[in-house]
Amino acid sequence: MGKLLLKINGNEIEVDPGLTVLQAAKTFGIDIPTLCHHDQLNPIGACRLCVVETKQGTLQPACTLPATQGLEVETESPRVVETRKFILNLLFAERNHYCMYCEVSGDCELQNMGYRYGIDHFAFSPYQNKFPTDFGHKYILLEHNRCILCRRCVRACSDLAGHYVLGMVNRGAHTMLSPDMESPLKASSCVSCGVCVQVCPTGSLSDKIGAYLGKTAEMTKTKSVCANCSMGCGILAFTKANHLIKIWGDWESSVNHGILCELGRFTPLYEKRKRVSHPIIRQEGKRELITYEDVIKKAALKLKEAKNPGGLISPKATNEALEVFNQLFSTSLKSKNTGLMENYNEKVIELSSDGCLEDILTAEAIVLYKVDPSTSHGVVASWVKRAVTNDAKLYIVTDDENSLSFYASEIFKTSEAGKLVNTLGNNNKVVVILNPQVESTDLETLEKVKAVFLPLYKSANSMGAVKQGLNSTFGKSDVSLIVASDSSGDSNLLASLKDIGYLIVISNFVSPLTERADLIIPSATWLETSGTITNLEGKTQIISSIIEAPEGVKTDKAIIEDLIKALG
Amino acid sequence: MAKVKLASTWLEACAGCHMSILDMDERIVELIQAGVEFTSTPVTDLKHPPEEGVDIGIIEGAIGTDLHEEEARHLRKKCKILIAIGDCAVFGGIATMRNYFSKEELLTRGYIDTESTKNGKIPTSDELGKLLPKVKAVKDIVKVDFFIPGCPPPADSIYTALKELLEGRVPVLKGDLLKYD
Repeated sequence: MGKLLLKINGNEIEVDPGLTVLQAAKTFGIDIPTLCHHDQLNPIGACRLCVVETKQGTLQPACTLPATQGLEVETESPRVVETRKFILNLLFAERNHYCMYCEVSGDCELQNMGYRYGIDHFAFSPYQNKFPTDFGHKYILLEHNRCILCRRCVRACSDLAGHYVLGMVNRGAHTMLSPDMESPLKASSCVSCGVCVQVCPTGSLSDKIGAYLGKTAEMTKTKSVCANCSMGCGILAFTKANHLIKIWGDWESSVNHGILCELGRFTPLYEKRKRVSHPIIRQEGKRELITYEDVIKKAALKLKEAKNPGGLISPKATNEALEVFNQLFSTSLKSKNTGLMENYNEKVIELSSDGCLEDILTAEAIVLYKVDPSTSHGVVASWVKRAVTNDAKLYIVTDDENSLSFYASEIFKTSEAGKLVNTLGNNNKVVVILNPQVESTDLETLEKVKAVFLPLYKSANSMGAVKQGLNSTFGKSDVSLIVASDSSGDSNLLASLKDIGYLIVISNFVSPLTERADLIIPSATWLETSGTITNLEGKTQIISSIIEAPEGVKTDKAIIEDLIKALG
Repeated sequence: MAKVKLASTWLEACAGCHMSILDMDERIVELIQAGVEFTSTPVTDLKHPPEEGVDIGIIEGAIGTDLHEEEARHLRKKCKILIAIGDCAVFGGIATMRNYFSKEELLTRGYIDTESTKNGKIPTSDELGKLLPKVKAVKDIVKVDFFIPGCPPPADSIYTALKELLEGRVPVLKGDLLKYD
């Protein structure tokens, strides 16, 4: 099909078929105001603010009007402007849109439209009815008095994130946004992914921390990648005076397309663990502060004197930190006794070589093998829900409860896992999402399945560490260096440290691991570090430092480099 | 140049809008030199607009009592152009918070139930205005010719509006001059 010729505001423009008038106008830099429309969502033409006047004299919403051959529209004709003012006045009259009361004043799209069309008073008297508020949710404020019923949150919750929690109840002027058909948000099936907050054009849905910490225009925005699981979701972090205010999903990220989970969007805002703020040495049972220079000298000396120095690193460390860590042990210390704080079966890694997260969305059948992604890899759970809504079959192999059981076509006990092979037989595209800690008997079953495999590695850079050969266990040593990032060490690790003569820990936070250490070196968190990490698909992405580390606190890479220098 | 007479008053408000009028600073002198005469205003402390009336009337504050209603009607009668300044006069403002409670609830909470009050009682003097059932914007009582929203409205907006009116144009507030908060 060839190009279409249409006229917008008297300008002849040529566009590809399949666009709406709004999209066509945008390509030519013509700004049509919108409220219920959002670039990431399917248009529904609810608010009518984007009306344009056709040559025939009808008013049509530009967001849903297809651009057709010969169409002529005016986007700011007197009639259009009058209509938009009327619509804005109706919106302002319906609930309480008095900006003085509102936390998002300055960031509000309704307010901006009021300014744009010179609404200097309310034509109809507002504040007739009081609407409820729902502030019980852990992170999200739902303020019905600010709602304009645009349904952006409803569409984002269902179409983008796959959760189908938000919906509308009642009709006409009584229409209300409602989680799970009139449940309070707190008691609903909301998984706290927060996408509703990100798309809300007014102050109806906002987050408890970000809402009170200023206007977006006053904040610094940094694009980065979330390091709270191995998915590698693109994020946009908002900071002010070196404080993290809020985290949004990056719409442009090819990994998560703007969707996040609780771990990615909210958990970092509520970080309460105590930071290691200064290097500490333990001598004769007493802990003392020492300078950074001295702690590096002492650590280098201890590692040099060691008969069998050992090193363990967190799979949250950047590729660059892993590289210098390898260099420290192989070149400076001539030791092969290095390991990773997680270990994976090599066969699992081989299985997953061609898996990609996007495969979940296009799969005909999905298997969750001994894994429940909802809590650990929330966006994977989103993708699974979306796929099931698009008619994919879901099979779950588990002996425990699984939060996605509701979506499953069939649930198998692990002892019945063999049945998978027959069940999956007819499906062309199968994606198996598995726990990477599966045992060899599981692998025997899985190898018989023709599928794309996606092991949900635990940490942000598990794959990067594995690729750099850091997947072996950590042997016995007399002096050990642990680069812990934010990990506090599991009970197995802590037990294995009993025999170690001297323990050096590089850590973000005070933890059982630092309690056991003889030397503690503070390190920057992932929010304060720049570098690259490799996600579970094997895609290497750049993480940018979002806030500055406290004074005197360096990144893992810088600390290890200083150790290498000190070792000479 | 003929004098342009101006009168202003505050109703249910905090006086912040009149602070914004004063915040025009030396431009007040400029307006006076251009022919503006400030007659009755809270600033000049003259209580009643002149008998013969004024050209421009300015109201700050919402309509909360029968006295406010009376005063708004009076100024409307006495002026040619009526300007509502500030969120309370324009939208109803902060005072509309009480619209969601009954008069009785409100007065009991305010004069009797407050944590710091002992043996409180609701004032009943005839000199006090009687609360209307709901707080209203000025335009709900009398015709308003021009609106300057903002809490407080920027001094620049008030200055621009007066200047435009003096020069015989209808003011249009845009950009930083139009603010809701």
